[in-house]
Amino acid sequence: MKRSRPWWYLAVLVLALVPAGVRALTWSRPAPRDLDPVAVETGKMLFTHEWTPNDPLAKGGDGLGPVFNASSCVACHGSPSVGGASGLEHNVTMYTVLPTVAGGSIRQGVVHAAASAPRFQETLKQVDPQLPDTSLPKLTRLPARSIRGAAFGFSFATPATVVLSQRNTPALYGAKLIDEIPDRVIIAQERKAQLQFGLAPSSSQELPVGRALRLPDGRVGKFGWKAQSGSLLEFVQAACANELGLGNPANAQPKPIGSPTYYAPGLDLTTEQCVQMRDFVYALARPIEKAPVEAAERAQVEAGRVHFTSVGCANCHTPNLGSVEGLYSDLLLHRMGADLQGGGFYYGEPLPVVSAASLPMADEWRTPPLWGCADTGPYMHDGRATTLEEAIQLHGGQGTRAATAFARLPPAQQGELIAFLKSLRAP
Amino acid sequence: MSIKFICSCGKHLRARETLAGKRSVCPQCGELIGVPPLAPTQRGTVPAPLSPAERARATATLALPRSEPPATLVGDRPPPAKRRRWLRRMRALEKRWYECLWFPLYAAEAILILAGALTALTGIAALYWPELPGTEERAWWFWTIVWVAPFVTIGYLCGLFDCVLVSAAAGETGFVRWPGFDLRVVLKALFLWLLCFVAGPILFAAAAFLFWYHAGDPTPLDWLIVLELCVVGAGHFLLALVAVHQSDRLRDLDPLTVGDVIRRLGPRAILATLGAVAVGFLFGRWILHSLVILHEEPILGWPILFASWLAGLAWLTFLFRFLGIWCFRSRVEGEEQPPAEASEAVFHGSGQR
Repeated sequence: MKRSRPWWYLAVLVLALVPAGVRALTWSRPAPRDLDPVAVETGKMLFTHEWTPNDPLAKGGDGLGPVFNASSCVACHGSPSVGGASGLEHNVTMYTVLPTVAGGSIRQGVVHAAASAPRFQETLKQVDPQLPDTSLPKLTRLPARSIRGAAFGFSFATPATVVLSQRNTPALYGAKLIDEIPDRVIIAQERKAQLQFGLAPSSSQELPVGRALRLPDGRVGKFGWKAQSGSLLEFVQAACANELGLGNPANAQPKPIGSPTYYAPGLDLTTEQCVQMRDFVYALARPIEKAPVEAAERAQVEAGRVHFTSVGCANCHTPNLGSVEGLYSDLLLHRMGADLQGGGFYYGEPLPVVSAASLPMADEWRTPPLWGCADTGPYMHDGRATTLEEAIQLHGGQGTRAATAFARLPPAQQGELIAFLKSLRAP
Repeated sequence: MSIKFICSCGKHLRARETLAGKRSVCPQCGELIGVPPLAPTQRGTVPAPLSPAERARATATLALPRSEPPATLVGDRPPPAKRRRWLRRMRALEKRWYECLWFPLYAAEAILILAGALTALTGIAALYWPELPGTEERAWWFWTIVWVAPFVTIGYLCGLFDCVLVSAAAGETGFVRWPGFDLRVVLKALFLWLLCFVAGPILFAAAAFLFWYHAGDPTPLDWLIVLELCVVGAGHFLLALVAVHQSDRLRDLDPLTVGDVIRRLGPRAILATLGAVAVGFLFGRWILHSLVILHEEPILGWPILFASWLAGLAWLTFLFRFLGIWCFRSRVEGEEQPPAEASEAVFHGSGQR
């Protein structure tokens, strides 16, 4: 005779609910951090400090250099205010030298603009003898297509195995909000794009389907033109090392191309100092949407907001991401076409990603947040676009559809869209 | 020499002399028929008294064959000579699960047509869906096709599986039932499936999708949660379908009746559910992956997509046949159980047979 066993059913039910319970407890939520005012103030001091070789603040290290691009963070992140962007004068030049023999390794890195001593000064000639003896070539003279190049003409030829590109300084406003976006939100955005465009792969050259860059520890890249940094702290540490030559526990300072045996006596920054700088960047206000006072202009901005979506800009420049409103970015890597290639990894070494196959391609760029774009030009990864109209027109690859749709709009509607973008102001 | 006679439904039938005086099943109406003795053909030959199992089969309320307009029966037509021997294997109802593996081969025509239609539908949707928002100026017929084609295709998909399930649960053998050109059968199946889905499984399916969508890169624990939700959702759906077909009443979609089906089928219900989820996961992923390939290399993508649909449909056809046969056998076995034993089993609520 068989009996029903309600306890068994109950046990099965409880067992079935265990995974959901465990997941609910470990569910990642945005964790707003309270900032320590003292740390923020110290961070501000470090951020604006003019570093010198053997700087007293760099206890145990060699201070600024030996190679660097600027002597302070604010030198590049200074327009229109502390934490902002900068013009072409602070662009960073990067190189990639492809192997000439099968099985050879790729050589890549940054040609730093300055050095603590003349013997350390890096030049393009050190990258390849056929290149000129300069450290910071003008962007318009780089042998890349469509950098308004036809009008200027290219000043030097580049060997086929060398790829040169530049990076413009991004603004840091609202970086705290980006840092607090959970990875799962960015991955959900990736899935949304795939579902929206018929499961098209992120390698598509037409459809705006981006991908999140997975780092080896499972996190998603959020900062940097190639989304190479998973957190703001990592981004700050990498920038300190590579732009100022301030070695820290996370990133060693770069060695000059001409002096690969250079030995740093010690670290220039402690983790605590890096955290203080991160906290200062956290304290920067987020950009704002400033509606015009005049009713007619306000209507124009609102109409432009509608065009922004209908044209397709909002597919990648997603207005809201997770709980962050007005970001205008999906923080995904998108292929932007052959004209917008930028070879090389920003920090010399290959990016720490899960596999070589997942490395960002030369034409893949993280969608830059458009908040504050009215005050943070020039635009595109190397600042080749001086105006917002030009920036839209230069979109290729997955941005071609939106750029074409924008070009087809009547001039009045184009003006409305630009008016909307100009309402996105720095704090 | 064969015996010629006519079923009560009007179907002209022939049987070998050796079957004289025995009983068989009409391939058109599914009713039990008595093959007349070696005597002149007459209409409405009365069969001998039925066994409990036959009575259950005859009174089965899984009654699409009787209550619905006649569907086109693939096996109704005299099969070509080449296929006659092939179909003969199907004359006896499957006794073992692996015998149901043959069934997709008998239904190959319908599966091939459906796989082709679904390949076209999903492939075109994946490739051209992104283009649709900018095509408001298209003619009305374009939008009619865009809206009607998916309904008809998915309706046929539901119709085929519905016919397979109902036919197997009625103990039919010897032919494959499918909706044919009767759109009413298609629409009814579509409506029924939709209703069964909305009646409960939609909650689990939505929960599984939303969890997957928002959980980031899934860990094994996340996959386990998605799997659990899929198992519950798929099980609810399948068994709700069986419950409705058993009584032909929509009100039997309620969880109590579904629970009764679980009680009656026992572990078989769990097995069928797990099978459905396994097929769904495996071939669903293949199909999704095929769509990705389709974007990159269309020449390679189309055949892979077709093969994925074909394999998925074949396995689902097997699964529905299997489930239907189980339903049939569980009912027949129930009828044949001694009354005392049967009442005891029900009293103690085990339902394990």
